[in-house]
Amino acid sequence: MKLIQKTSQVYLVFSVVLFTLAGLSIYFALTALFDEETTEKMITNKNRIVFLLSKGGIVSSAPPVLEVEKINHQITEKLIIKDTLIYDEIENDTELFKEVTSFESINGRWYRITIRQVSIEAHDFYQIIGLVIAGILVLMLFSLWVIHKRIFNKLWKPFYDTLEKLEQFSVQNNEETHFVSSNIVEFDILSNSLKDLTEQVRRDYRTLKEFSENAAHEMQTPISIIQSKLEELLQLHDLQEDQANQIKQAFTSLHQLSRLNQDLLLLTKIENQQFNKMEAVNLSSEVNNILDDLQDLINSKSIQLQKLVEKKVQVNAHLYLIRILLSNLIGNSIKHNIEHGQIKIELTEKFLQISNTGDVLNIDPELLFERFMKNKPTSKSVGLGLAIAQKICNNFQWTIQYNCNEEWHFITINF
Amino acid sequence: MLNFRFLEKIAIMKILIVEDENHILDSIVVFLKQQDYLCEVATNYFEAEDKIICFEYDLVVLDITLPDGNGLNLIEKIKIKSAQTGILILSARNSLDDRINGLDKGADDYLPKPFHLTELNARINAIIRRRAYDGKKIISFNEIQINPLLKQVKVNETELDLTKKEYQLIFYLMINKNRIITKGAIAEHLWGDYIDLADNFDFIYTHVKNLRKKIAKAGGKDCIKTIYGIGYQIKAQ
Repeated sequence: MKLIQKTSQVYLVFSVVLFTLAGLSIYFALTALFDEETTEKMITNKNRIVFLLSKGGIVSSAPPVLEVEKINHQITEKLIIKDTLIYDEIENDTELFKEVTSFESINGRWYRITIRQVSIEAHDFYQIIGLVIAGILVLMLFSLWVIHKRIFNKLWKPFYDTLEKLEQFSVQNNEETHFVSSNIVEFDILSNSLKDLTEQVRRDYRTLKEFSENAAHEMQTPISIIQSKLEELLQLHDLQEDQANQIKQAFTSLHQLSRLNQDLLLLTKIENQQFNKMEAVNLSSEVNNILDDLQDLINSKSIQLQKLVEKKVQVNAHLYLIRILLSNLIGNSIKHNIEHGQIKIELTEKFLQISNTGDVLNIDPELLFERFMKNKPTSKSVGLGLAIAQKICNNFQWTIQYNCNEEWHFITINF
Repeated sequence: MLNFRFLEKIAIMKILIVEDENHILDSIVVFLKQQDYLCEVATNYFEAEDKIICFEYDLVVLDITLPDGNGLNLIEKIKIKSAQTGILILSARNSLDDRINGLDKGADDYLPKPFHLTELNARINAIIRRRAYDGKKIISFNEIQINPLLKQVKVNETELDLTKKEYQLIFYLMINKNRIITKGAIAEHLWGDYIDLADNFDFIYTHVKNLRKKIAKAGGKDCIKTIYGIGYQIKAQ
């Protein structure tokens, strides 16, 4: 719920409750007041009649409004005030009357004087009050809403600007975020804190990125040196088998280190957006080229290859990354395959699916996208292949999924 | 045939190696001298520029990241001095811009670090063959002859029917004859560095086996030696 909706809602609930209470109070106060006034007026009228009678005047009755009656046996003077329902012939309806009955002794004779007046009908009363109150409520809410809207648009503008800036904020973006300053202290504090925070985050991120890239980069030279020295060592004429074996093991480990380093460097470079020159890439021919190149490997495991590649499938991407992606995934489908296994590659305008037979996974396939995750911990591969594949797909805003069904593994990329 | 042998004898290729890392430089120089190249070295931009202006080289092996300048800027200077000079760029892996810029400016090839010396040799050889011999130079060892232009391998004048990878393998071994080539280097040369094949080099053995069979069938001697499971070597028995 938006801030303005939330406050409006609170206002609405409060106003309705408040106005209902006000309406009720007004109703009760007014009816009470009216009642009192009417009674007072009727008593005054009664006193006039008593005065008239005492002067020897004749007062005739006019039922139901006025009844004067001589009675015999009243001893004490008495005033009875009550409400009563009487059928009114003129109105042709039963009406509520206010009735004042007084027993009076005038010049030694007892009279009963009854004065009645039609009460104001309650429902008329509260209808009117309800209407007026509702009218005021609507008017007030409307003006509140208008005022609010204006206040929100003007007063809270810096706040919403800041929000928008925050939404657009990305650590990977190198441009500094400019928060607007306002003349409201709280907002300025917010903007300044956010400015410091975002700058700090960005600075840390940049340092980290630079560090990983530099570290990986700097490692290449020593790796090169070790590699060339090991190769020279191999060329010695009187090399013995056990020496050669040790060199071989050193080579294997060096290869792993070098591979790890290259993969990490590649990951940081993709993260650093260093591959953002896009071009139209013919994916079909790239898939075919890589399959041709790896045909020997497919044959060496007697793998059966099924190819459902549509012609001239084009994507907007970076050629180098596409080649890494395809060779990673197709390479995996060979490397993790079984003898006499199968590979199925399907490419359409919408998706690329690489399916292969292999060992049953003992971890969640999606976890394999994490860095350094491997199905078998003993595997010599570094465990960055799928992390790189995912990074590349993210880079092109494609989705990549890994599904598993018994011995079948499916990698699906949706363009 | 005699003609080419004659050429090979007199035309000693002069190579300038520009590399700031001394250990790598040493290895390259030792290795290239074994291949009968005449090597000169420069360890920084200034020195390299100096040598490029003063002398003419058949080939320059150029490391792009130098302490006092960008090696890419030397390419133009080399080209001004002699358009015939071949240029091989060495650079960090995945530096795509370096590669594209380098090739745009007129470099012949690009080799990412870390590299196998045998791979460096193969690249140098390819550039020199293309530039100095129009690719016509026949590579021969014992009774095996390779015509790089036609991608043809002959044993005792019998043409071998080789697959693409088998051809690349024998070519790589021949270029680096007398040298032990690791399986890793072979795998990288044949399949590139796309795919990490460290846990399975068996298919290389399959190729070598087929190659040996085909050479033997054409009456050639088995010259491919297996070295303790590390790699292979072409050597006269």
